[in-house]
Amino acid sequence: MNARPRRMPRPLLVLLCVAAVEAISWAVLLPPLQGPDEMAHVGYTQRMVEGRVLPWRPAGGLGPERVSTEARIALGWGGVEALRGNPAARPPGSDVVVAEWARRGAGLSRAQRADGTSTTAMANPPLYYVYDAVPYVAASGAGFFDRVMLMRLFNVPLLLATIGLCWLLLGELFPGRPWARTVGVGAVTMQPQVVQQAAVVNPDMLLAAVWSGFLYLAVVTLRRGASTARVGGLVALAAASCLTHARGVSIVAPLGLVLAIAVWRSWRPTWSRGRWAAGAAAVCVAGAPVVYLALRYATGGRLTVSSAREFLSYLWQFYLPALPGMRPPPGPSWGVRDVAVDRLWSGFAQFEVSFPPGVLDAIAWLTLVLALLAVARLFTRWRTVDRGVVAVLFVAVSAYVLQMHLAGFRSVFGGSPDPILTGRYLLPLAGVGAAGLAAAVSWLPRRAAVVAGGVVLALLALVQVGASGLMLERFYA
Amino acid sequence: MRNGARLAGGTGALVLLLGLVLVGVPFMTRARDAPESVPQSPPLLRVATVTVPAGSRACWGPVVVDRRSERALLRVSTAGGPGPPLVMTLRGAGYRARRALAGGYADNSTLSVAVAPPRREVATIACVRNAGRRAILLFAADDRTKAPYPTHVAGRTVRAVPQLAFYERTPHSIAARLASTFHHMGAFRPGVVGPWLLWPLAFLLVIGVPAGVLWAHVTAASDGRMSVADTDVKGLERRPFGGTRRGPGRDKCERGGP
Repeated sequence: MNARPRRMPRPLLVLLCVAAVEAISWAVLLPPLQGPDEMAHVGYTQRMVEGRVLPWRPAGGLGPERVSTEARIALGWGGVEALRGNPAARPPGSDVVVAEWARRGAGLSRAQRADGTSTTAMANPPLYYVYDAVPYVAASGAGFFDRVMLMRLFNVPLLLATIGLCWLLLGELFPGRPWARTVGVGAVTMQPQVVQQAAVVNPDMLLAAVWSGFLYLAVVTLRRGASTARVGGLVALAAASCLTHARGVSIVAPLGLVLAIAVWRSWRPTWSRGRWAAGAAAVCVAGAPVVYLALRYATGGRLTVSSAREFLSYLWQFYLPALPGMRPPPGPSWGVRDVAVDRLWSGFAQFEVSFPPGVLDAIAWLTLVLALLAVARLFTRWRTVDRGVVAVLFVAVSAYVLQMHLAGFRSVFGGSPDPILTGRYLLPLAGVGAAGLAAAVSWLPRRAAVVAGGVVLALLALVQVGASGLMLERFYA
Repeated sequence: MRNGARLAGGTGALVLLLGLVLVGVPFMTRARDAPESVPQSPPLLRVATVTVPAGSRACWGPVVVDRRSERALLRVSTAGGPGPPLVMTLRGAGYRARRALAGGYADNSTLSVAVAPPRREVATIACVRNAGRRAILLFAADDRTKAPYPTHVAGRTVRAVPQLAFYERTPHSIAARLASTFHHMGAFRPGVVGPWLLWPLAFLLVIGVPAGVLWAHVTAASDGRMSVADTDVKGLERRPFGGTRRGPGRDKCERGGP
């Protein structure tokens, strides 16, 4: 039997080419090591490869931050530290400075590459760094900055995988609506924070690819039934998520739900009301220790009624104005607008490159309108939607966001000024965002929806080009 | 559907064109008084100064001066009174620039010193001599933004490095400097990154990316085969976010069968 090879759809092929161009452009545009925490991530890989150790220390004890001698010389002469978050600085662009760095970096021993002891990234699990060790080793004979560039470029396949998997996901969610799929996936392709993370050394892109794959496979499992390969794939992706970043651990919630629904659908029990009530009670009893442990984690072990109430108040005020009697939450003033708009659509490099407030206001309003339209669309189709799929997507988003809130509250409740949550952390939910946009646009009559999709993509392309322009102005004007 | 796709493509292209013309072109052609290079930026974490006693000289480097370094900016504190006269020199292989600055400037002034640019970029030692009778403080950096060399003052070595930036004589636009910007971008990157790569990449980013995403949308919207499937897909009774609902399989799928 001859299986006909399936051709890649042309729109997807073009979107992948577009994404590759964007990511390569940003990798060049952004000066070396100016991505968020980029030196810390490079330091992890360098320590792992050069020291032949796994530097993952999950339980603290990281010690004072120290990069290798080779990296320290590169940071100084490459102007990396002077430039980091410093709008008054410019990257050195002179061949003379490059020669000065090369002269000082020449003849360094292997030990001087391996003597970096600790970076903040070393609290992360190792999967991404094992992946990024491939380009590091491949370019081990090259200079420090060449290695960093190759490590950056190794994120491009992760971006392409994310886009391809979002394409498959939207194909499942919007069968026979290729334009809705293109609008959703095109938005992911044009999103400047997605592109930036694909252009820097950072595990967020791997996490985004893993979650996109997981959500796709979850929807396939629910719609076509569980199989050994599908369940194995889901478990493998969940394991990959946990081994990529601590934030990825929340994937166990949607995994559990997918498996439960799949079992339920194959089992097809006919339950009486009493059994339903007993089942719900059992879920509550089983969930109580999870809630307790989560709150205990969020309060740094100081769980009391007062601290639990403070957490709920923090959660409320993150999204909504304070109610009468609510105290301001601990830490800086930090809400959903900061994370989902200002830091997701702006705050490039070391957060210092941003769109003007007017542009961000427009993005915020547009996001709100599209989100409401998507929710409204969902409810108008409530009778026909696969509620299992909706439940899994909802739980995936909720668990992921809640885990970030737990970590964020733990940080500010412990006195740190760092609210933890930032825009790029939302990238694993790119597939859900794309589906939301597609659902919002498909609310319109078909012809109008296609035109609206074109306008949305054109605006997003302008945002993408505009973000590139801001980077050019910041570093090279 | 094809008409809708064409309309979507046309509308999207119009939005793009308007955006690029109304925002992009002014952005690229607006003249900016931006630094040409910054050997030592202002610090981020804490203020530092380098004291230059009367009659003494502070020197630091290597400071790179290039063909567009036409003004050097320094920031000086006089501890209250009028500033004493200063002499700034830049000395490198085959290059020497010297400029005397009259006294009388205010405390905490940013001094703009005219520099004769070299014919090619050159590593120099920058010096500021205090030709007056009272000490001055050069604003400097001694945090993580500090340049990787020390400063020598009257035979002593101090850690902090005086703030110094070079500017062109007149403001310039991003568009006017694209060629040199692409040369600049090659520094601290693999040898393959240079103007020959960056010009086509810039074209693709500004024109190819928007055009590509719109083309993908128009192609998807006008694809006849896919449009047919849009209205009738056998076997997919349940649509997560819409579409038609057909056949008796609904309950099987959603509620677990009879």
